[in-house]
Amino acid sequence: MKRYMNIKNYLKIALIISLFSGCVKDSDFSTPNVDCVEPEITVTNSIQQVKEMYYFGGATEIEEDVVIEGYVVSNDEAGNIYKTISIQDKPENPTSAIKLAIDQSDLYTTYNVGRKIYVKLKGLAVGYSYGSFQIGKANGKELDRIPSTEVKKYILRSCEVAEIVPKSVQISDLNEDLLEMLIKIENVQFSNNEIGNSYANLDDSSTIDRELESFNSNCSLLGSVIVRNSGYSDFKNELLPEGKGSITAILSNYYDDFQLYVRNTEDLDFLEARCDYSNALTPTSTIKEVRELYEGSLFEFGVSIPYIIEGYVVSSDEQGNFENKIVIQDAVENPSAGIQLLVDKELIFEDYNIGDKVFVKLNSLYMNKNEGILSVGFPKKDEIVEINADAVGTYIYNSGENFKITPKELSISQVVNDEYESTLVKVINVQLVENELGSAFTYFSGTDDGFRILETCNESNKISVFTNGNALFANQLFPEGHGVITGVLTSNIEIRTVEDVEFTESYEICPVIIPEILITEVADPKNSTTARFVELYNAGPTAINLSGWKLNKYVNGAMSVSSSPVELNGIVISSSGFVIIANTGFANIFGVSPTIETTYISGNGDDVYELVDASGKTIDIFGVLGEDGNGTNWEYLDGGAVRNLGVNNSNNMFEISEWTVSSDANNFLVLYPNTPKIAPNDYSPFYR
Amino acid sequence: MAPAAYTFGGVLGSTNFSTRASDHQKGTKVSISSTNRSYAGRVMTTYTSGLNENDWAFVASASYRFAQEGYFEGASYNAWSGFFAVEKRLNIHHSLNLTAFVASNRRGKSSPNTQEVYDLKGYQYNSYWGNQEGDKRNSRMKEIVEPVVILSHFFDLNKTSIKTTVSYQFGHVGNSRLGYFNAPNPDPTYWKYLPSNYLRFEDDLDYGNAYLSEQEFLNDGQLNWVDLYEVNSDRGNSLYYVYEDRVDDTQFSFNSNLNSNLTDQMNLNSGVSYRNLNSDNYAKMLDLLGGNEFVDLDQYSQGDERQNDLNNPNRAIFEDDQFQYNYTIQASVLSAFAQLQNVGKKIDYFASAHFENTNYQREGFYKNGRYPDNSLGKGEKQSFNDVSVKAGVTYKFNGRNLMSLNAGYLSNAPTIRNSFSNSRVNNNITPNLISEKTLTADATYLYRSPKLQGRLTGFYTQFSNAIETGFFFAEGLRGDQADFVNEIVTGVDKLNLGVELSARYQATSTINILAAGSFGQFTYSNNPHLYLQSESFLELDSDFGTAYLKDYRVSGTPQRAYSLGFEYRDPKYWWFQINANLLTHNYLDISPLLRTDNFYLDADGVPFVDDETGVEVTQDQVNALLIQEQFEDAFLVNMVGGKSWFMNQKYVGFFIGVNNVLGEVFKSGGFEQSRNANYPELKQDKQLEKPIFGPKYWYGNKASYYVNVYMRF
Repeated sequence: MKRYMNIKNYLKIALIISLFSGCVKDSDFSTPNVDCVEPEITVTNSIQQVKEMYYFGGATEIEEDVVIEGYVVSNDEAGNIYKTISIQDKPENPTSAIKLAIDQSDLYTTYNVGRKIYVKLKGLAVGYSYGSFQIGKANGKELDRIPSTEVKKYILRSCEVAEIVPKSVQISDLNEDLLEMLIKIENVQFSNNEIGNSYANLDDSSTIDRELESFNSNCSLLGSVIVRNSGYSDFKNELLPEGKGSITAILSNYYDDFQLYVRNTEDLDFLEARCDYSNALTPTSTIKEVRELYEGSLFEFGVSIPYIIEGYVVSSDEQGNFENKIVIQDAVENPSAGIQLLVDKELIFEDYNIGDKVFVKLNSLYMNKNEGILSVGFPKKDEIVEINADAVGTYIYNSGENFKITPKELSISQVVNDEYESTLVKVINVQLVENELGSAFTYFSGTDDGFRILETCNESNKISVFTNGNALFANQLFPEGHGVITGVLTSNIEIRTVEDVEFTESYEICPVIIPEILITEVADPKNSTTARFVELYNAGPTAINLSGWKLNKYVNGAMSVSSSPVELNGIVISSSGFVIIANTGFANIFGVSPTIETTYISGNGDDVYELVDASGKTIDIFGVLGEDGNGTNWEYLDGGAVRNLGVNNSNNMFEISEWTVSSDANNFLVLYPNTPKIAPNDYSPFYR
Repeated sequence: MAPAAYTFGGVLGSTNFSTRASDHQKGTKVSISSTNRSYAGRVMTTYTSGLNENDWAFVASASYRFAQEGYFEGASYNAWSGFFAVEKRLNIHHSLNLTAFVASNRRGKSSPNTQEVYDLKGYQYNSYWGNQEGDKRNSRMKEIVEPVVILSHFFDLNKTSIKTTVSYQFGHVGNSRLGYFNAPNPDPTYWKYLPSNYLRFEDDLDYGNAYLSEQEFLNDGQLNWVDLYEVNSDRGNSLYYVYEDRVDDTQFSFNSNLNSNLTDQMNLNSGVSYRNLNSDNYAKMLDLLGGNEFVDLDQYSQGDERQNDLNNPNRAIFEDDQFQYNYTIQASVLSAFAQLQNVGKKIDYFASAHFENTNYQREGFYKNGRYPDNSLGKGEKQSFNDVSVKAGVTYKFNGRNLMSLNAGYLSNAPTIRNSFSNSRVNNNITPNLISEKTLTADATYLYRSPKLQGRLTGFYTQFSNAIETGFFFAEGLRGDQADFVNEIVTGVDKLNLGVELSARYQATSTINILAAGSFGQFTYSNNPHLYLQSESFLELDSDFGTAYLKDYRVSGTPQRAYSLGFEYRDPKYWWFQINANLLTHNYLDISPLLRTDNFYLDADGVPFVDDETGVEVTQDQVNALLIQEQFEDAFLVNMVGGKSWFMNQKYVGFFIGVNNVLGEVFKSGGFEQSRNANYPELKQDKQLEKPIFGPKYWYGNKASYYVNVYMRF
């Protein structure tokens, strides 16, 4: 009985427990009803009308009950589009579209592609920035994103989800009215220099522009446009597709530049074979022809005549030289011309490397000399500056073909020739000048640019090697041997890598050259004051570069140089060669041009001529400084003076014994007084 | 530390719960309770037969605890348990006992929050729940169902007893949460949704959005289940889903203990035991929230790395499916111990030794896309051999004055959780994995007299080679990287020093005065080594070097506590007690990552430059930013009282307790967020009026009561 009681008690307790169990509801919740209810709302305006509500001067707040409708075409699921949705007025053949800026990510979870939405604009604002309209919230003059807490207040979803048919367009059709629409372009491919790239950078999250080219059905290039990829997109590490095909994207812009935003990689359908560049671009001119267009001032290629050149890249910025420039020449071997292109771009070599065949569309570019070198680029006043990084690909096309470039072999004396400007040359038989041995390419520390001078023994011509201070090898020791250097020739030679300096032989000690430049004839013809001349002669065994040298004149016993002496820059006088510096009538009378024609040669028998070298040191002299020649033993009035043949050393002290002087003057101190001389027969310029 | 009869025991001693039916007091007990703590009510009943004439004994017990909403909003409580034991005494030497019990506990969790959130929503706020069709649905439920069956054999001779037990435990533990894939974070307290997010840039204070988000949070501030259903049903496949991290354990154990009185004074305890655990760990899809399926991918990776199982790429997951991760841990522990105990007239002493062999092995069932080479199949078996010894002596000056000294050296194998550095996705083993060592000693003086009993203890415990692990999202790693990381700190040494005093004074036959004080200092005592493991920090990069933790305080408990109590016991069976407690020196849990060189060195190994001074940060600036928060002292008054009657052969009684009578608001715990892992980031955040990644806190309950009515017959 007692046990029975216990069982009864248990039953009671069990009942109590089961009652309580029913109380705690922690599972089996009823599923919320998510049937769509179409909002009751009347559309008052079109998207186009809303754009027209904008007036210049910042965000335009909408104060009336304006309601628009549109279909969502953007999708931020893959992360390439961020905190915006683009809507257009119709699912197919839209006429207008606009972007909504919303401070919320993963918008696709609510505003999926094709979803029709209503936007209640009262309280929102229309803004215009970077050349396009968008809807957001006004914050003073600024347009802010619609706060996430208010999105549902302004944007209502319809139950309709339409299929969006992207609008088919050609690249030439792109215009402002198409902005924010879903468009489709056929026959496109990524440009050659993008192949192998991923959508964005692997190692950072920056937004990257990739260049997309558009062709007609015959593979003629129609133009190019930027595909902009976020560094936060899911597909940023994927490789760009290599084929050709169609792209579907939201059209966007940055001022005048159109940009395409794909929603995911399925928007690129690139299954066809690529178009080949050689079909796409046909050169219209050679580099040489283009160089000949230059007439000393800024040249504009314009747009009316097509200018397309082809060339081969000879420069490389991989090691830091050739900063912001690409040098191309017209052939892989024995080029007839080259030219440099200025580009505002880093790591140029990744897209345009040595030997790459490129096509350059010169239209809308300019040409002028930049630091003495003929250059192509953008204009800035009269100067040429770099082409914007973004635009480089639209002017310079890499064919994808690569060739081996054979540099033109030159001796140091040939380097002066202008025709080699901006071509790849190999200068043989060179070494550092003696006082630069032990120098770095620039300096052993720091990032200043530097120059090193190379010479060939017994050659007066020298070349300087330019090195950018940021080059990888800038602070390295310049090789001290002897050999060849390969580089691009400008006013200097610029190498691509240290391997371009091949100094495999040992350094040569050059014999010291003492220039033996003599004044060998001074003429004052009786019959012509304008045929006066001074003859210089190189009695030494090597050619001498007279750059920096001067011929001074001292008039009527003066101790100071008569103004504007004759500068002998650029003149190289070969061994046993002559330089004739003459007044303006010389050529006419002697039937041969003087080396330099100048009215400075006006010595009328009593004036001194002095030859000084680049350091200002007197090398040779005719006449006595501070002495008026009248009545002296060196008076050459209406006559002349000739250096005696046995004299082969210059002398910075005048010695009358080295000279044979003739004069019409009745002066018996002179060797041949009363002996007038008549040009041309009584003189012997260019002869000794 | 003390001698223990059934096992070797740890630093804090051992607990031994009797499941033997004949050990329980005969009778029936029923009780009903009401409270406003984690649950609202409890009913409980126990029937015990006692040993009947046929030498059988039974115990049956059942209880139910429940709350639709406990102390914290939306925190439901739903727990029941059943216990059944039957014993048959075969003869005076042998008896057999079978026990089975099951406890099912299912409750809604409550969130730790930043101070900003507490200030806006109050101290009972819980971000885990939201309304669904009129009900409060909690997104994070904890469910434990682990039944145990135990069969024991007792053998008793005069001076020797042997107890042998075989037991089998099975069942599961599940912790559910809301998952989201490539969709906005549904957590209403996500930092981007809070006002502080809009006020974090000093030069671009966005008061408009701060206000809007504050209003939104104040007016709603809970999960929005309907929105989640809407997103899912729009798309078909679920972007939001409820899943649980599930552990299905089955454990077999065998245990045999011998207790023998060798002489009148000398006692020997010894035993052997073996345990074998099979622990299946996986994620289980519970609710697709209106969607049709979920695709099993890792949203934070790319390419093949997205695949949670490369052998089943892009697998469609339905409710009750396993996904994300799936592995088993096999563990076995074999141990033996022996203890000699002597009780003498003047001196008691004991000495004890323990040997344990522990083995762990992981086997993965998924080929994880991020770890294709070491996720699938069995990993290397980890084995640990641990020897521990302890001994103690008690000297009795006389019956009233006793003094005891105990000392021990303990070696404990690392836990499973600490042995595998990222067990969900690979077989990697925690670096420097060795057993944790503990060296401990205590000295106690005991005074016992009829009126006054007191005890004074001094203790010293040195823990060494401990491992601490944690998972979190950190920014500012090696300069400016950010990632979800697994932090492993190895070779952690901690030192616990302290003195405890307790006394009880019987003022009259009905009044007792109780006093206790604990004066401790629990600190990290070395600078351990820190590793971070994640997608970006594989192998080489994972070593973050030394974490400068020495002398920081260990968190988790007030290190000093004082208590004074007054107790009245009326001869007429009613009583009450009042306790006043002062808890001090409770500390915030520090983030070891913030205390590595990474905190002040940029990626190039050069210290960061301070934005204000313009020069490299100084030691003082770093220290100032890393001061450990000491919580304010808490003063708690607790009262409890009761009465009982004996009538008609039945005991009826009740008691009422009120904790924290004064309603003191106090921090009971909290942890630094490791999100801002370097100086510039942490400084910027700390300078804000409302830090975005400030510490998260738990607060103690305000005043709470407990009423219990019981009847025994």
